[in-house]
Amino acid sequence: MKSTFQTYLVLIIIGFVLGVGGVLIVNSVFTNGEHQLTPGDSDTSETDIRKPVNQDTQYGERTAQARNNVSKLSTDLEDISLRKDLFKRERTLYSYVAGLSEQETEQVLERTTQSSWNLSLHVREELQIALLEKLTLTNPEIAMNFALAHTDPVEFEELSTARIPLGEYPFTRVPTQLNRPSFIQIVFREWALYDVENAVVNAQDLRLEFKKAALEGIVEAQSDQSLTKLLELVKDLDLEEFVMGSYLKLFNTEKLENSETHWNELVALITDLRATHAWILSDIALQWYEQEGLSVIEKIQASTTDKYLKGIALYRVLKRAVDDSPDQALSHALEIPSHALDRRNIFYPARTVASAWATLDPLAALQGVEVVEKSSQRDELRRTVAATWAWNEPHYVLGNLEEVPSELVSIATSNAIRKIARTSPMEAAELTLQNSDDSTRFGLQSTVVLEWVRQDAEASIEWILNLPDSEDSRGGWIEVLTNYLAWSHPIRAFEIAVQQPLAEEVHGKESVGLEAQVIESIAYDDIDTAVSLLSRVREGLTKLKASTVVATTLIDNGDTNKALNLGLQLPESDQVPFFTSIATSWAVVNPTSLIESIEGLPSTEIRSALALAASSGSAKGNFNEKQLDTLRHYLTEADQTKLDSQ
Amino acid sequence: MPKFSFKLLSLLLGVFLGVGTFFLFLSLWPNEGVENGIRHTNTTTASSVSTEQITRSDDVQSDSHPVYVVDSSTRINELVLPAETFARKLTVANWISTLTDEQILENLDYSIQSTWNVSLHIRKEVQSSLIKMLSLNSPNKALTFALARNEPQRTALISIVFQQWSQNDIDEAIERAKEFPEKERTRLLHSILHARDDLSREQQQEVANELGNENYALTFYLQSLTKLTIENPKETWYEIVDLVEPGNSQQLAALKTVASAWVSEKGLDALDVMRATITDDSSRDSVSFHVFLEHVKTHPEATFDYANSLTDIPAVYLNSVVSRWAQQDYEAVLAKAETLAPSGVKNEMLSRAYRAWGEESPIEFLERLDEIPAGYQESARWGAIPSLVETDFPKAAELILQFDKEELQSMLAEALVQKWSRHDVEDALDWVSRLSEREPLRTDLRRTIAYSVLSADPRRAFQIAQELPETLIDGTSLSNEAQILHLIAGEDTKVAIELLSSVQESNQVQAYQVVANQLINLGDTHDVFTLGLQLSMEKKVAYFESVAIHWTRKDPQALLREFEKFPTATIKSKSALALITRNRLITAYSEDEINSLKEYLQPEDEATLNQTVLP
Repeated sequence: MKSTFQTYLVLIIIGFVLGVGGVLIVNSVFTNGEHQLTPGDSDTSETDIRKPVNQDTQYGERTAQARNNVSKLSTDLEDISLRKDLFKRERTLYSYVAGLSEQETEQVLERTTQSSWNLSLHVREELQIALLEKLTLTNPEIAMNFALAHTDPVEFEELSTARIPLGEYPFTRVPTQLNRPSFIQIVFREWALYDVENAVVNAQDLRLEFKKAALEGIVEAQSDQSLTKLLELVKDLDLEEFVMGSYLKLFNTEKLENSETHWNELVALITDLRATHAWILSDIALQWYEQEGLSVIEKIQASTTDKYLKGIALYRVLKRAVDDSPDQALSHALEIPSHALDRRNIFYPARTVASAWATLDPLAALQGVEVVEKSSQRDELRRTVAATWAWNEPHYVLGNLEEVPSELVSIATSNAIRKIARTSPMEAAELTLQNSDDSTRFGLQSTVVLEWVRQDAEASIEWILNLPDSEDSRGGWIEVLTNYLAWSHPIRAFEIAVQQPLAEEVHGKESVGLEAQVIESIAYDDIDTAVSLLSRVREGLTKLKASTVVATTLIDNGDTNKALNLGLQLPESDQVPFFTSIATSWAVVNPTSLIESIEGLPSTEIRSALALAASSGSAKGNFNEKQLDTLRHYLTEADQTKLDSQ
Repeated sequence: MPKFSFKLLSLLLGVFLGVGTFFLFLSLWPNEGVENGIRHTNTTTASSVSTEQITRSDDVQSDSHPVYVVDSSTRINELVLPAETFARKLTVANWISTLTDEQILENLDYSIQSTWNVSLHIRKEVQSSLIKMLSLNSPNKALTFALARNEPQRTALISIVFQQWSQNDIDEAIERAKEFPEKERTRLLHSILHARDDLSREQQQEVANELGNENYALTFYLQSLTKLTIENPKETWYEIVDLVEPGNSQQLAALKTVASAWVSEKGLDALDVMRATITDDSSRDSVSFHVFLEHVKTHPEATFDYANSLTDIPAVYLNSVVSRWAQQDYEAVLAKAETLAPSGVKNEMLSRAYRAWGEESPIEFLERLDEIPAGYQESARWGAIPSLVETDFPKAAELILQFDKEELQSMLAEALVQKWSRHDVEDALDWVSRLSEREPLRTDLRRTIAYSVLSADPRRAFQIAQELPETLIDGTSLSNEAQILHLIAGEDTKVAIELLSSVQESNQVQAYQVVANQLINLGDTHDVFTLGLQLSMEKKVAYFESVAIHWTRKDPQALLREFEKFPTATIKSKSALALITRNRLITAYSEDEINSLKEYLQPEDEATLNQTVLP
């Protein structure tokens, strides 16, 4: 019995061992690849990944099954569904890359640069990012070389923020790339996570824009370090000023607990006054305001930092405060002295608040500014409110002028017309004609015509030229028109100008024809055309002015002889003023030629006038003593006296 | 036989027990590091605890990498995230895939809390992934979250929402986008077009039309052609040159990119072709200018020669080329200029080159100033002097004093002390004081110093001005003290008022007047009266007369309202007389208002008024 039992026990044990061993063998065969027990399953979005893949394989040793799996999956990246589902794309790509060996990672990365792999742009770019993130952990130099060698759609150069309106975020990237670091930044961020020293060493020899991107990455990786420590870490990169910028970006976050502390810490450190820095600081100021209210205004002013930074912060806080309590915002704004702000800010606190208030509720704003004590300031703010109201609601205001205080009607009307001109210049022109306020008419004409010529030059010409002669402002319209047309349609501008009657003489002084101004504009860009048009310029002062302008440009172009001939063709009475007018330009460009040519001028009077002009003012510095002596010989007694009395 | 069957059965039983035990073992075995349902790798590549630094291990093979079991009940602030981005993104993606929309929203709320102690870029990264998932089924909810964020994260997240939304239902996305203000709409349009790269150009145009920015479809198309390496710039040029709309800076930027690429490949000959194929003058100029500025960095002389040969470009373009060339190599520019006939271009080249020389080696430039042609010596003022470092000031001063030409010497000395006084006003003053034989230069320089330090140290500026000999400057009769106080009051009236007590008696009226004028300009009229009361009686009269005149220029009605505050009958009378007399030349008041002023006239002043004859 006993032996039988033992026999069966042994058999069970053997069976047990066989069972375990068999399962182990079978499992190892089917788990070389991404799949655990279902080799054909490639849908990672459904399956929770339960154990690390490739646990059982050694580096470089992959089974054919595994290679097939990778190859199949790489085909799956061409799946169109990855274009449509951003999240699925992310997860699929990262899961795919997770299954690659180091060698495969490199290979796939290279493969992404080949157009033969039919990937969408988005998949390709995100795949490259994932591959770089992974490859950097094991072979950062290769990752870096790839990043350096391949065009990254993200531009390095920050776009100019010079024209960003106050209070708007200074975007330097298109929206789809805002959180997209460059390849270089990615590589150096990952590298600096585990080996900051080598990351810095490798960044040292990069050209500047790459080095800056590398710095961004390194700072991101070391974001828990103090600024002092960061500066120490990256000192060999010699980019101290940029460290501050990168460090500051780390604070662009919501729900800061100690806004005031952060403000005080950061304002003491910032030296490079970029728009992005000012924005981040002002974000901190806004959070500070949310925590403490308008009392932060005084504290911000008291900070020892650049006025530009304070100004941007004050601007944003005040604008936010208008939404909460405009009257208190105004009261605080009035306390800010003008010298507290930098000229670059170009904003006046009280006006800013008044304007924002007027956007919310113009009638309330009009009432609200009445409390301002200083009369000049009060009037200014009333004007601001009226101007803002008219700008925001031009048609309403023009149709309801009785709601506007009488002394503000003028500014309201002109602002409304300016706004309308942007979209309907003809309507704006008609409104300007009806506007009887002479003080604003010329400005309005300029605004309207500028917009109109830009949008539809022919329509503007037709309308203006068809104004009746009896229209008092017709001359003003035409002058403005020819000024703007001269740049885009010079001949047309000249034709119009030369047909305009000369203005009446004032105090016995001859007026200058409009075409002289046009010739001046034309000469700047196209001297040959200007010269050819001179013969059609009206005689007298107009021709003198036009000839002088053209001659100056000719001298500048090295055509001194041509310039002189222009003068010599003028009536004798006009030659003295002509040569006097061109003397400075001539002296600057070619002083030797002036000295040599003066003898050949037709009269003593002309020679003396030229010599006097050349020996005076800014022209004089272009001659040496001997040349000045020569010029003196040509002076008449009267001109000599004039020169001596200077 | 039965015995054999039993043995076989025993064997099979053993096998089944073995298999069953194996699977039981697998399911029950507690792996190391499981935390909150997240499983960690045993490799050393990803020691996945918080965001601490990790150490790279040389035996790491990337075959082993972190893969995690995701637990949907885990909150974001309970996740233990790997430090490396790759592993972290995979972790987060796997976790998010298990979440419902409500859970995503809940975690988005956690993601903005400062109590979630992660770096900014991790926070943004996780938010982006959550938003991607949420946008799939609930774009409106995703948008609500995005709209409440600060920039630039706000726009970044909104962009993601609209990218996904446009994939789900482009019409709905467009309708929602229409509700945004114009500027933002363009950004949304960009996001939609970016996501829907499957749309034809016509479809892209339709989308752009619907969102009120017809031009943007073309802009987007052109930018997409040019954002990566341009394989064939010539071909791309011909494809797009006629499409670019004049005046559209973004489209023009794309054209410029292609132009640069073509010129890099083929040299400036390519620019000839490009210029011939652009019909719009302004675009042609703009592209040319861009090419010049790029090409001058590597081929300055060739760029100059090319630009100089063109007769129809604005002069400023050539000047810019010259300027950049001079910054790179002023000697080459000087040499080139010598080969040219006299002209504005030659003049510009010489000016720029000498200036660049002065900027690069200011002391050397000053030492050799006599060798430089007369017309260009002044360039030292704009080039050399501003480039001096503090330690060079004494040497520069010495050199300047050696120049023959008095005017040039004064100009350069003035520029020098302006800069010097900003570094060390006492040193600058000390040097100037040693020019005892050099009047009026010494006085002029002291005056320059006073004005230079005015903003930074108004009190010192005032002191310096007080010590200057009184001279008439530009025909004004203001004393030095009054002149400087006028400027100080323009910056800070409080300081100006403080300094009034130090003004010499003979200059008091003027000084008080200029400060009062500034107060009137600022609307601080209360202080105007307070100031006036500090003066002696005689001076008060002159002061208030002047105040009245200035005030009436600025705000005549306000003056009338405040006139009663003028302190004495005599002062009121004299001031009224001044106003009435002035009104005869420049009308500020109506007849009734003048009559009301006349009531303040004392008999003597009334008589004066009646005797005054109009010009």
